[in-house]
Amino acid sequence: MTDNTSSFNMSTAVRAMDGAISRMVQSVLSAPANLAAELDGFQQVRAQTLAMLGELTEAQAMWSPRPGVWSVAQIADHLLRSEDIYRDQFQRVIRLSQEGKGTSVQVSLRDMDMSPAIIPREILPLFETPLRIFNYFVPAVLRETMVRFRIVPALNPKVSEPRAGLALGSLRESLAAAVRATAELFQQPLPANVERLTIDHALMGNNTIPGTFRIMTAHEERHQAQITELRALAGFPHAAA
Amino acid sequence: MNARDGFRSAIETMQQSARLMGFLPGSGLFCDWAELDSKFEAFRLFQYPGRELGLDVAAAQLEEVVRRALKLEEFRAIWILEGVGHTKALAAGLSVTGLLCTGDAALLPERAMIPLHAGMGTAFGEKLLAALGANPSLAEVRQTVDRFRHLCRANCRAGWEDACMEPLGLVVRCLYPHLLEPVSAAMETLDPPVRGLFWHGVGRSLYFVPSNFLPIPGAGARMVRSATLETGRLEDRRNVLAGLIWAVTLVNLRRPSVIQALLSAGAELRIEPEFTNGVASALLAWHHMAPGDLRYLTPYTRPLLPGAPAARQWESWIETPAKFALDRIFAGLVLRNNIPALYTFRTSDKLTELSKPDEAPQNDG
Repeated sequence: MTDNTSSFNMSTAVRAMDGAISRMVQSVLSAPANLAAELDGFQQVRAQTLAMLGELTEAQAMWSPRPGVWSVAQIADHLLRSEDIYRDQFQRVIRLSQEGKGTSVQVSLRDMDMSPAIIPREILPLFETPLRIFNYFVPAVLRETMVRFRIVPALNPKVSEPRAGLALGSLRESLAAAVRATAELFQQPLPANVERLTIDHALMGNNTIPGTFRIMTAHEERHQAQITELRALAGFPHAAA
Repeated sequence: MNARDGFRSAIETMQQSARLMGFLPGSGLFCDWAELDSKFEAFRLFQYPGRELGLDVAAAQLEEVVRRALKLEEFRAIWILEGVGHTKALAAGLSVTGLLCTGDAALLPERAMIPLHAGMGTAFGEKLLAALGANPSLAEVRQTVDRFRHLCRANCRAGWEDACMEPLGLVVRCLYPHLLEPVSAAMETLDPPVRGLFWHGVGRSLYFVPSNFLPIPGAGARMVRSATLETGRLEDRRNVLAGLIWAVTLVNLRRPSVIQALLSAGAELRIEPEFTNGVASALLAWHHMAPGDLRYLTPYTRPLLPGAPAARQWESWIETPAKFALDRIFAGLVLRNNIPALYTFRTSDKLTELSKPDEAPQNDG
């Protein structure tokens, strides 16, 4: 055998096919989510977000390539608001269980009006029932994949729309405080069935708390990729020397 | 029933079908059904250890799980234990430490270490790479590989880092093949010797990837030939081949005829050192995991019947190196805590060296 690099001609198509099939099998084999591990995973992803923001100047964080496209600061604020929404849902379902009133909270499309971009927000509530039925047949892993990668363009819910008057420093502090608050929520006495409590949303499906953490993690990773893409754009401001 | 349970039922059905097909006259013309059965069995036991053990592996105490697994038939026990390591690490967070080295886990029997570390490394690789996104930058890949190394080191037993890190190659080749070169480069940048481990893991994965999964006629030889094209660098290629032969040997340990059938492809490609290392390392690993077994090991240390195909090659490529490794290398490797050295391609001389005590420093004067 010789060290001849020119003989290297592995079929990338075969490799790609192997990868695609293996990933599909793996997605079916995914073990049920576990609360401690998923919370930990979310905290790790948040640490990455904070590290990404730490590399930016105020001017870079506020920069947007054109009107209507979020700046890094707006993305960060959207992540912050999203986490607040999910934390509120966690609190509601835990309280519900502690009071013996149920094990699932229903989140309607009026409360959280995220949608595929092809459906106008105004008519979205009409799709509530069909979407819930449709979602019954969609595997969780597919929903996670669609959240993690921008396969389907989506509209964020209005309640997580970035606010005006953002500042990079306070955003970083708020994001760090938010993830601490979420973790502290699960350090308090919890109902024994905490891993089986669910948050039921027409589009996102009926997810357990660990499953919802998976979605939160995937969502944050999606926006981290968006930040990376923004930074790679030609007009992105240079850091001051 | 969820999708995972449904898939298990499908695998069990396919495995049963493979067993039945093996009994049909002439069915061997289409596929080596017994080999397919062994592959399905290894995969199933790894993926569903809880079903075999009758408990929730993620929630149960590791010592209890290992104790139960080691009571089972040895061949099944090793795949189940690899699945146990995988399940436990998947259930833990990415900031976990001491999974196999602190508390009661530090007292787990030595013979469970190879599969537990392999399973744990596989899970860490899966979790970290899943978070990388579709087209990560080189800096992101390097950061992830570095996290993987730290995670392995924080959870493995002292001296067992290699056994935990090697599966990264398996994870990348199976699930993220487009990242092979960036991950390999990152490993070399961070720690050059780890690159060899990575490609050994890639080689192991080749036995399980979909394009090589069905043992149809000629598939084995094609698999070995295509393995030589997996990478352009000689040292990496040696590890790929050694890893592949390791996997074929271990999965088909109960049927030496499977590895025997690959001898002619090996001779054609002139890969004796890699082939020999793969077989000998797999047998040593098996001996470590199943110290009481002779039933499966002995056929590899005996000559083939006179006149059997490749009888002479069997003697020089398998029988003699296997005997030498078991008699002269194994005990020293165990004593020196060097069993994880089997996870990289090494010549017999190098393995012998690693099995010997360090030479005493010479006195001056």
